[in-house]
Amino acid sequence: MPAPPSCLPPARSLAPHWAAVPQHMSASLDLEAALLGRACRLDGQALAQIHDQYYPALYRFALYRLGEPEAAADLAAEVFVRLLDALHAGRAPQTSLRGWLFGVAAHLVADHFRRRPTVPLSEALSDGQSVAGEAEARLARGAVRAQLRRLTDEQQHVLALRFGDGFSLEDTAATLGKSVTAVKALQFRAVEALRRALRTDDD
Amino acid sequence: MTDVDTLSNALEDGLAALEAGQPLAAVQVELAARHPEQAGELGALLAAAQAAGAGQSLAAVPRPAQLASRASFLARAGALRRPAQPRRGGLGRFLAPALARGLAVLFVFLAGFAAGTYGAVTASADALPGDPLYALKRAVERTELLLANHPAARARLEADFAQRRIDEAQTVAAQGRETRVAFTGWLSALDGERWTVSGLPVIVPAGTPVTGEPAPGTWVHVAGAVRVDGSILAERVGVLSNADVPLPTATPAPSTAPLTTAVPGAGEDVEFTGVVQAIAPTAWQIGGQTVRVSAATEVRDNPLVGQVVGVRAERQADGSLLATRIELEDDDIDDDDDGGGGSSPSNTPDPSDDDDDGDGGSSTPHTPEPDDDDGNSGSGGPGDD
Repeated sequence: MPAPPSCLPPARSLAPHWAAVPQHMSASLDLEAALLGRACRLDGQALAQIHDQYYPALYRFALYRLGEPEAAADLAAEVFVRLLDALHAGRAPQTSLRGWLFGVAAHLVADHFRRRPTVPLSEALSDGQSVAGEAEARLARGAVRAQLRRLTDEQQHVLALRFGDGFSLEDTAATLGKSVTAVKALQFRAVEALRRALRTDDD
Repeated sequence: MTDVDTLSNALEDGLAALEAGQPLAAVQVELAARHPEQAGELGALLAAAQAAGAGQSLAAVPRPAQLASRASFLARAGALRRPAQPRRGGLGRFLAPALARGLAVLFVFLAGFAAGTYGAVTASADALPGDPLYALKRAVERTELLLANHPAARARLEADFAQRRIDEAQTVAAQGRETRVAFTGWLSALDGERWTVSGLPVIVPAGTPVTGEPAPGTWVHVAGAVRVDGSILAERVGVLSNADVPLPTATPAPSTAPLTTAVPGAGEDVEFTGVVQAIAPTAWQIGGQTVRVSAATEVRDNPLVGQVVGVRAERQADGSLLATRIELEDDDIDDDDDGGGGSSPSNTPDPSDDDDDGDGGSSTPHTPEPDDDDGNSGSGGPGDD
């Protein structure tokens, strides 16, 4: 009789190892640990909760990176399939569930571009967004998008979480398992690269 | 502090302000006042960030895609959860199924005492279609169902057994054992004669009797045969629910004449309680009734198949029910007028039979009355009073 996988590390070890996790994040990490414990037993309620909680953010992350709603929906769904496989194989997320899910999403994004390197960059950024009506920004969007693709993966992750998902600096850092300082530096370099592209195109 | 540190800190301040909803120009002015040396640079950085999406409203998440992902995620989890885990919750919840199972075994044991042996009953648990003990396994299941007196418990058993049928079909197909199978599952893809039902590839050749309108997202019952190459060849297919699939994408009522004649009771609010029998992206099967869901439907507490929910719905002009709210009920509700429709799909009403409105536009509505929807379960329809 196969025993249910005991895939959980002790709850305490879920606390992240980096310093200065804000209070609200550590509270949500505790909740996450409890949820993960039940998910390990493939508890339907817990899994449903995880799906409801993370699907929207994963979808927006994928949409920001891929620019295609259908591909983004497929990618978000695939992340959850991978989660089940991992739980079933007893390879539960060891650090933070959120970090694990977005880590898988990032891998899948990379796979996506490996398989389809020359993807037309469609209406990613304008989708569902009301841009302040500056013609300048509109003209720049094509250049911005092309430039986004030239950033490093890490920089693009940061922008996808901060701008695509509206995560705070702290949440972004916790999701990526990086320090706040590192994320701040990444986003600065990313935005600076974008600004250079805008300037050469506009002026 | 270096220039870059100052700039990246200032940029973060500006981004936080943008996220908080302040207009770009105001943020630029504010930052310029604080960092006059780098005002130009900061202004350009913020403009670039905004062009990349900073401070803009988040993209809408397509609800049908989210629900489809959720449904297949949970179905897959159910398939992996092979030995049914005891439910969390009160001791009674755990004991009741155990007791029922014990009694079931005892019943079958007593009934077959002369011919069979007790060992056969327990050994039958792993029997597959085509095995000598398979009939005994199904008999135990039927007895367990008979002994489940709570509708929620019965529905849960039915869901468990339905999953067993799928697992069995998967196993015998993998073995390439030529035998007959029958199962109920979620139709996720339909490519000519190649269908995918709860993850199982099924071949449905042209000419196979199919009742109802199969479409991705509907629930179907498949009866067929496993061939020696491991493929499953359907012989009969029945669609379980109304399957009003085009809700999110296409316009409603695609080819039929516009329904100006409203059915009696259109627009009325309907409330009832029932066991969730199936969850698909655009419609749920609850207590024998098909209830459509839309982006506007408020779904609370993540109900799962087998749980008892309260439904508030509005009767649409075409007679269908569109849920406005679905929420989990307390478990100890004692209504026993539902939960009976899940095992045999053939007795679900199929309004698709008469949906071609070609008979001269007669205004006689032949859509079923509200209560006819669960005619198989007797009189006590939920909308009676």
